[in-house]
Amino acid sequence: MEKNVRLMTRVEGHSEIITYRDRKKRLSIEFSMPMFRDIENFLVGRRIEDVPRTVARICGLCPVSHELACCKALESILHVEPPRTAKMLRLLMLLAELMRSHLINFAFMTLPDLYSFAISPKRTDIIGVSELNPKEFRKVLSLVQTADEILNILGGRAVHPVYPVVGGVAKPLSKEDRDELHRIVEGAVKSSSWILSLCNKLLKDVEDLKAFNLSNRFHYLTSFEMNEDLYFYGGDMKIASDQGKIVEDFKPNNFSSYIKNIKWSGGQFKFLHSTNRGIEHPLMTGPQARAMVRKTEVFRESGVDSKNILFLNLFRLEEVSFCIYRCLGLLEDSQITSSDVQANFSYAEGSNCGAVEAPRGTLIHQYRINSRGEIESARIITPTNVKAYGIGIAISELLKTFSEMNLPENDVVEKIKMAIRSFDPCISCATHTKNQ
Amino acid sequence: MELAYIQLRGCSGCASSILSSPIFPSLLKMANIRYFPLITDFFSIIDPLDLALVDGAVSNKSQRDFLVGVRSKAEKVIAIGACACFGGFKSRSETASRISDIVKVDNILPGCPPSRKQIGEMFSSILTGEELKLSEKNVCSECKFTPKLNYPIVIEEFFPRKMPEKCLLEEKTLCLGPITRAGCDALCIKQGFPCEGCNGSCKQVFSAALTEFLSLLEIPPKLESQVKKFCLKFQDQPVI
Repeated sequence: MEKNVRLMTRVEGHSEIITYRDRKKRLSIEFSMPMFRDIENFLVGRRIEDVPRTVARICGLCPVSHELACCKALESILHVEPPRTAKMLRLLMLLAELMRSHLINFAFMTLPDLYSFAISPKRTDIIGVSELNPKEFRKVLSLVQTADEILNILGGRAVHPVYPVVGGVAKPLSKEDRDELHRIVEGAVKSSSWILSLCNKLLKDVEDLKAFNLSNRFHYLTSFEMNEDLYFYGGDMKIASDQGKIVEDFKPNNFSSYIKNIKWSGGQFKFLHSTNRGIEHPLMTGPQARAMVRKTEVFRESGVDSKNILFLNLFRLEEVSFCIYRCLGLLEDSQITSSDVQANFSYAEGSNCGAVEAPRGTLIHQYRINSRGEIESARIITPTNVKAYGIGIAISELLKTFSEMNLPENDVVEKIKMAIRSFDPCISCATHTKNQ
Repeated sequence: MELAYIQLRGCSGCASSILSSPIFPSLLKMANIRYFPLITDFFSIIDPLDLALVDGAVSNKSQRDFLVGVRSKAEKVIAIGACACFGGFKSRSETASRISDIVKVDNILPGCPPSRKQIGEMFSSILTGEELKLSEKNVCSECKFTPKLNYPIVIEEFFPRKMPEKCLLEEKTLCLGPITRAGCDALCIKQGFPCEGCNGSCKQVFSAALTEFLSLLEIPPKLESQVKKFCLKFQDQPVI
């Protein structure tokens, strides 16, 4: 067996692409995440008030999601309901984070891949893009900065913002800040539809686009209600079929009755939807799952192509537009500047879960706390954990397609890297614990 | 300028703060990025570097070896963020270390993550060739509240339950502002949270200042372990 380890570039965190050639010279490829952080143990014994700010440090791209999943879990243990305004402000922050994360993925990781088909730059990275098309580069970057600015105003900083607390958020939104936010968000409306059409245009130039189609029938995990008051704030979990039909609906605390996880390779688990008829479907989660449930325009129009891995980029960018309109909706609701942003609570022992739609999909936090308000145990399931097995399946299928096309090994690896980037894995999140 | 950005064990928060900061386009203009796996396709560092920016803590042998290799190629090394500067989050089961335990570090830019202002100051110091000077004052010097403290400082609360109206320590709530280096504009306190010390100590060694500080506090026994855990979140070295 011939083994070759290559550094995976342009994804969050440290990961590797390992290629193997067996005696018959057949190629196999593994996407490996060889690093572990130990956040869960770090939480044990900590007082709950300091936990949201601490779990944020799991990930620099989705800190708000971790803070909110944590707050929701702790609030369900303590039977605390944050005031509606607090939920609105939390949602505003979550939407800004989705935008920021999606745009960072598009600008720095995916865009260079798409450009490489359209105009073959000298180097396949943002620097290549900036040299060839400085105007577009600046426009993309200013959108990233817009999302940053929203988080800055609410949470003091874009990464690891300090704002959500158990029971609500730390402070109300002033009318001046509301107006400033509205001005910033409104200014991004045009660019957000521009960036979606840019992606659409670039996808048309991708050679062998159809080769990125997947045949696997994944099931899709989400955690928001179509008709909830604060649409997208979320809570209960749903599993949809590959046609977008909701087949399961359950409280986050019951996830183990519907989702089976079996030890897999590289310290990761296989997360499977296990139906009551005993059939197991690999799970996917993220912008595509949400687009299917929301029946968005890109989903309706792409038809068969909605299973194309590169179309994940369209779902992501379509969601950026959604976030912008959703932010405007929240900012135009007069309740957003109400001063009622924190509910009181007292410590109580118990255990429960909280779920939130993070940029990469459904994020679940589970805690057990004691009567002194200290964490006794913690478990965090991140979207990248959930879809790691699905990404593995996708890699195998692509490898088969590309091998049949008789491409040289380097081209195959490059195309698979492109596919992995489209899944937008978050390695920091996926490797947050030792005991996966 | 030949520049490399190295990420060891961390969360990509420092790197993404740089990418989304308004200074990023000028960074692209002034520097030739030779390694930055998050955004470029270089697999290794081949040529000598003028500057290596390193974020994240060192947590295994391959990171250690890699860092030593980076140091041998780089004229200057700057540690970025609390993980690279102080080792980051630690629990008993962990063996992560700050990068200055492994290689010589020319300067540090602390914070979790460093603030936009701090990042801007770092890049302008790189541009002008001037030494990056970190504040020697503490977070209290930037805080809107002026503490009027009597010693010992009695601590009764671990975390504020509402927006503070005066100095948290005066309200008998723990805050690490007095021993933490300024530079963040007292961001957490503005947001209604106590300072957790992510900018490191305004003195040379964080733990020395911490031990001294703890001796000035009167903490009820039921809060002792919490206070210790909180203080050691961004520790420099184990205390005691």
